[in-house]
Amino acid sequence: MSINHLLDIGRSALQSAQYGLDVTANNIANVNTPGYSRQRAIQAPRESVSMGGNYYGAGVSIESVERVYDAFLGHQVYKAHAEMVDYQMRERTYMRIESILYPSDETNLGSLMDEFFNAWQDLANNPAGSAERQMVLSKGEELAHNLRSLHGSLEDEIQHTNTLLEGYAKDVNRLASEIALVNREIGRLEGMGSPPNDLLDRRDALIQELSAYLDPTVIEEEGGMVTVLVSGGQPLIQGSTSFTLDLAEDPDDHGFYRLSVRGTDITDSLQGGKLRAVAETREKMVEFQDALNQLAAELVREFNQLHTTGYDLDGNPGQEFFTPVDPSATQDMAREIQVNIRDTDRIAAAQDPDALPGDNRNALAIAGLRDATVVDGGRTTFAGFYQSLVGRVGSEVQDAARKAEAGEAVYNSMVDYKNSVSGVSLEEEEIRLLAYQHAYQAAAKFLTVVEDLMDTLLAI
Amino acid sequence: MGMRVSTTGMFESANRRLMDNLQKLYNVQQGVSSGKKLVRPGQNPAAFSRVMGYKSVQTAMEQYERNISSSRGYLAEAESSLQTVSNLLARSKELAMQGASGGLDANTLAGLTEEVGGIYDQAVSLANARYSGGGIEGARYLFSGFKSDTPAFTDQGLYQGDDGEYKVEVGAGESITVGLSGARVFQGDVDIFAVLQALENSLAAGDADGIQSTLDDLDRSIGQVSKHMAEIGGRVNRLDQTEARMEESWLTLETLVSEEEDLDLIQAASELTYYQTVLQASVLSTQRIFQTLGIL
Repeated sequence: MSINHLLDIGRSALQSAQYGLDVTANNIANVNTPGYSRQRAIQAPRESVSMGGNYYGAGVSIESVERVYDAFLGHQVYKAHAEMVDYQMRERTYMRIESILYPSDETNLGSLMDEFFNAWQDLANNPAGSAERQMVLSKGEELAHNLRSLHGSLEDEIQHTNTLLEGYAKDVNRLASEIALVNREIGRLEGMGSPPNDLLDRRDALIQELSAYLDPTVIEEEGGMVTVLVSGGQPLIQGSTSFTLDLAEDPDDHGFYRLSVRGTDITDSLQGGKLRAVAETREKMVEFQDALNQLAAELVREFNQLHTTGYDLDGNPGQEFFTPVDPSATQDMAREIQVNIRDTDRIAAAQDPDALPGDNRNALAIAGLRDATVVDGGRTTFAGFYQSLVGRVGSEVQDAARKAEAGEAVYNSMVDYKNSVSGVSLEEEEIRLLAYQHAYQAAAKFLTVVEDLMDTLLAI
Repeated sequence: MGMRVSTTGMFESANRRLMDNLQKLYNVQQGVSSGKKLVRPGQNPAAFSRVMGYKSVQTAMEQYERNISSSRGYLAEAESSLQTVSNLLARSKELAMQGASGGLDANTLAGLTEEVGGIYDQAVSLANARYSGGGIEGARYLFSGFKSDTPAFTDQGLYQGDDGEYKVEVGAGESITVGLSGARVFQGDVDIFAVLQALENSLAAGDADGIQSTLDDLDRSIGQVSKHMAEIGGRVNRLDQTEARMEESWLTLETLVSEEEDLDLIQAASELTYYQTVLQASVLSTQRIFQTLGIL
């Protein structure tokens, strides 16, 4: 054993302590960096030297700089994130629908229907009154206008879903190709020794971003690369290759985009994220719009039926009160509904053309539609139908809000777990700082001893 | 050993808890300032649908209330016309009795004849009374049935209206008849105008027997008018009862709406204090921890 061996051990101790300090400093520096996983210098003794039948230690070396990371927890975070974002988006969407369908206590479809029926009651109290007749027309027009405008607002929301999906697909495709790039870089560097920790963190951050759109399943491959499956098994990223999320309009479903990857339709197997939120909410919006169309169609049918059996102020048979006259002319009755009557004298308040102008029986019959269970196959009233529609939207809001809240709780606890593993603790780093500092000082002292020894030796 | 605590995690979760407490405080504060716990359907869909139903019924009740007060207006005017007609008929009976007693000179008979003639004109014009609550048009005759723009009777006492009697709705599916056809009121069992004409003719002719014979008809006329005034009284009673019942239901609905919709302010105020304290405590404890641990 030469004295150089001692020098070598000293040097390795000094260097390891310095590298350790390096890693510690980097952890401290990144304490507030989002997505940063703390790193650890892994030290190990160097291979011993055999001399005279004994093994003598040969100092220390840094085996690797590892990032402290639990892939399972990472996966749980993606899953929880996808779930949370999905329901948060549903909640926001349904709240918009809610405020469209029920804007305020004072002005909503229900109160407008009430006012319309009341106008018919006032007309029954004074069937020849021109003010009362005018009121029936105005309230009818307000009601028709409100139905058209509700239909339009829902239509805007429905149409907007395709625009949203276009943007999301662009984001997903950008993220997928970035992840594939990083994957390739990691694969190249992993072959050369230590894992490229910053790239691993970067890739995790990108997958985390991706999990806002859909639910990624990450599979670690040999050589540090990952495969990312979406929608329960469809590969979106495979090593350094990424595939695109493609959109195609579905002519059978309102022209809504269907989503596919490599020709496989994934629309119905999405398991979270904004994409599933859009796919789910757009179908509900169509249901709500259908209900509105049904309400409008039944309103037109019932009013026209009664109005055409009555007689107007001049004794003529009543015309249709609302258009379209033919309910089968359109699927979108709420979009088309208009008041057909222009002249107040044409309102048919009477049942007998010879009992004018005081016959109020048809006005009473029409006012009586308020309480008639003629809607939805005779199951409910107009008001009841609207109330249950508002109730349905409210239930969607409530359901999404509850699931979003639960999703947030799960996500937060997963993030807490992940942080407890990967997050930097300044206290811990402080201790390491002290440990490495002491090691460095001791190694330096040891080297001065070796120097003394050499001096002694040379002086012989 | 519990979970490892990282500075990153501690900061994140402290931040999250602060925001969470702030959000709760904000929600309670919003409730307190609006006084309502139910503003959007999504807060409680079932309760919200119920409240919509209650409010819709209340809107209908407001309308029934308007219908009732409009009906009262009509019935009050009809009653006042009939009251005057009744007084006129009583006066006619006095005059008839005077005429029937015989031995009157021509001048007195002429005076009686003239007065009865005046009473006849007044009675026709009362039967042609217009409903003042009929809006700007005003041309709405009380006793013409559905032909409400035509005077009920000609000067000769011929009925020009029809027998339509209009109804109004005073409750869901519940309507009452308000209109009174002049044919029924003035020419039902006995033709009041014909009786007055007969009296006038007999007086003019000094025909004591003829005058005598109208006395019975006059009694029957007075009876016919009182019968219809009683009918009006009965209708008004029914309106009053309906209204009273409706006021009760209204109050019940009001209570139901309030129970679903209104915030319990005392409870909300204590929640407000509670969340304020929680927020302060979490701010303080977070500050402490970071002060204690601060090493850099």
